[in-house]
Amino acid sequence: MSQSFRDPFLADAWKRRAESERGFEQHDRLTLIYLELSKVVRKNEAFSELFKKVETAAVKYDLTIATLARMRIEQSGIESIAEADRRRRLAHDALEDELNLLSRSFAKSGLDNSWRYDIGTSREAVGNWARKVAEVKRTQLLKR
Amino acid sequence: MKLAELKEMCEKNGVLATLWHDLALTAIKLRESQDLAVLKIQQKEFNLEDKAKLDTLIKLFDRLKNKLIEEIEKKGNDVLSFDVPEIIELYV
Repeated sequence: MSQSFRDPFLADAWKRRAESERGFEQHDRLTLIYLELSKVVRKNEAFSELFKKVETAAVKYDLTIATLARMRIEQSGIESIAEADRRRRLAHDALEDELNLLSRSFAKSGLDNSWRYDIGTSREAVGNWARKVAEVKRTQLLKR
Repeated sequence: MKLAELKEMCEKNGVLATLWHDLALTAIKLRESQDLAVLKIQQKEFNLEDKAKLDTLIKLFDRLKNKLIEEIEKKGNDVLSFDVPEIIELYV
């Protein structure tokens, strides 16, 4: 066994670095799906309204997550937190509806909609993608 | 020191706990305001009042962050660089 594998400090540092890089790749992949999709929509203006609705739904979902987090920190009552969580779930449902509508419209027009599968079909995967979309929108539209 | 460790350390200390709580709350309020700003910009409804609110939160966040880092460094600890997203991740 090499020295590095016997050294707990190095092994831990490598593990942290690998985890960080995996996280980076994941974020990068999600951003790429969004940017590629934006490019296709720019070339096919008929989809721009549907795409804007997806973007808006993604940012609204991100907002519900922040609101829920704030209510937890502020130690709001159980009922208020439950209501905020219900709103988060509704925002997620609305996002999935918009996303699937765009995907079906792509398919109907003979456009490649494999991006929908690339995003993932689980609620968690769709949520992660939405949060990445919100991050890109913030970067594009705000200074910070 | 990683951010999660910093949070844990702060929460065990009265003064730092308050500072951390204020910082985390400000980070989340800033994120909420940023998301609202994006939505308003898309609707062409973003105004100077919204911008002023955002700027105030950014300044407050920076002030609290610098204060916390200063306090942590006084105790002889180094903190890995962090910003709003890293704090938010601790609460979602």
